[in-house]
Amino acid sequence: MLGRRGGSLRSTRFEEMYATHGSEALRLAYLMTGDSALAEDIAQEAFVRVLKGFHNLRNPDAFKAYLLRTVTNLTNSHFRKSKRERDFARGGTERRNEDPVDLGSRDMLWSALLRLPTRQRAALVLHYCHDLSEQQTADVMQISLKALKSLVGRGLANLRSDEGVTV
Amino acid sequence: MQGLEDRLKELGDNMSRHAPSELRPTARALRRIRVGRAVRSGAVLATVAALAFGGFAGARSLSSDEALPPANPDSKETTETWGGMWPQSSLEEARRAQRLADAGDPRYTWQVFPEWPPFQDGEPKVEPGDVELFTRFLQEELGWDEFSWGVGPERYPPENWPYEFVVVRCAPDETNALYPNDPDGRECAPTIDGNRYETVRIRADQPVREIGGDPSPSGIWVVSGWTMLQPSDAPVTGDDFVRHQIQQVAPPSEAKATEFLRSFLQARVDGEGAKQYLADPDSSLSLPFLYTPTNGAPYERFGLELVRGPAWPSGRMDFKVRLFTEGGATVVEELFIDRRDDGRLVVKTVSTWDAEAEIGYA
Repeated sequence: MLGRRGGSLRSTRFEEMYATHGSEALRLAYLMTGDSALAEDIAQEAFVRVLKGFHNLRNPDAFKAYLLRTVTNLTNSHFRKSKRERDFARGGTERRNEDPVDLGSRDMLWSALLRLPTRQRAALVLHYCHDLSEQQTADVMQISLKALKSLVGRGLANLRSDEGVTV
Repeated sequence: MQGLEDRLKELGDNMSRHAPSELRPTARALRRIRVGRAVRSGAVLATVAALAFGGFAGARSLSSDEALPPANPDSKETTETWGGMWPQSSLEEARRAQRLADAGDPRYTWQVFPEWPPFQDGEPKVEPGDVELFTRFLQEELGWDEFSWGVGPERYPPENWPYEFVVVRCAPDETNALYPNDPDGRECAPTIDGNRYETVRIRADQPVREIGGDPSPSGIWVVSGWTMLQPSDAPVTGDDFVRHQIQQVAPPSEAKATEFLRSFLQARVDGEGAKQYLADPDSSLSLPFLYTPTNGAPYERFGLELVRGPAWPSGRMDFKVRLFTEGGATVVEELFIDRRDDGRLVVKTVSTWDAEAEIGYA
């Protein structure tokens, strides 16, 4: 039976969820990371984590929100972990370029976006690049609308003050 | 001139064209989903049974997270018992404490610490171990005299970062014979048996005041929940250190670790058999230049040096590796040796350089 609680959902149902939401998860992860291979790894992991625990598969809106939230969390976690790994391996003393990826001159705005603190980046990507409303973005990030507006405002201000972004 | 908001929307459209467009479930992913759902169903039944028999002692438990849908879909925890708020025990008490702290009452102003955690470069400026609220909680509420915050490179569970973290209890006045050279580990001897530590996961919150979802510098902080982490069924490795009771691992000797790494590097020079050494051989991020760097020439020799470790409590050992090709190119990698659940040694990657340019890190 489709949509029932427990672990007996058929693989075809999971595949349907991948087909319906996979490209959206990939797109978000790509915009957040700038790396297609990393985006695939993150999107795949997000599906596994959400489908493992999500029982109400008949509610596509709720599923989408949890999936995007998990993609955002995993991306943030990946960059935090990468930074900690590098700091740990170097004894916490050496500082290198902390850009998540080197995009070169492909897009200065995107490069600047990827230099933002992760929560600001997530707010801007979800709202502007991913076309979610403010309320949807706040729901995905599990913050209040007021907090989202604050994050978006600070993110835009940081982008405007970035040397590489001409406004 | 086009506004920044419009340019961001345009960026989303443009970059989406470069994004991979199709995601198919791998066999491994489907297997993990099915196993996870089966385990979770068992956990839900256990939670229902525990509630029915009054098995939850804490004022705040995770039972509500088991409702549909889950609050934390990327959480790995199953059933835990959570202790309640401290030092206030209710929102009403916290509101009163906030009013008195605002008036300068020293009985409550110690709960205000504007330095934590507003972020600097994406990290908290002050770590939990430096915050009086948490040290007093550990001493006064849990009765711990000695403790250590932060185990390994990943010190926070990924959910609710950085407002949840893990602290381990250390045996008073004892040294840790297994890690005599680790600055943190040698001062923290296990408290349960020869290898296991009492481990608490703490959740912090500003119950009364915040600014737009961010911490307020004048708001009081409380421990809003805590739970003693339970032992893992399998040996705890890597990220799971923040999810289970800490159990230190006997580190491999430097000679054994070096021999293992040499075998791995020799396989790369030989051009085959190196993947079996990797922790995640299927990941595209594991090692981009496994057998050849960007110039396409095979490796002809290598060198390695131990940079750090063995690190408490995982026994992790970090190495810097150089691989040389006939054409003169050099690949530099930062790797570390970890243990899988079955005790087997594996290689994990921190970063890789080709011709002095960092090209990626896993």
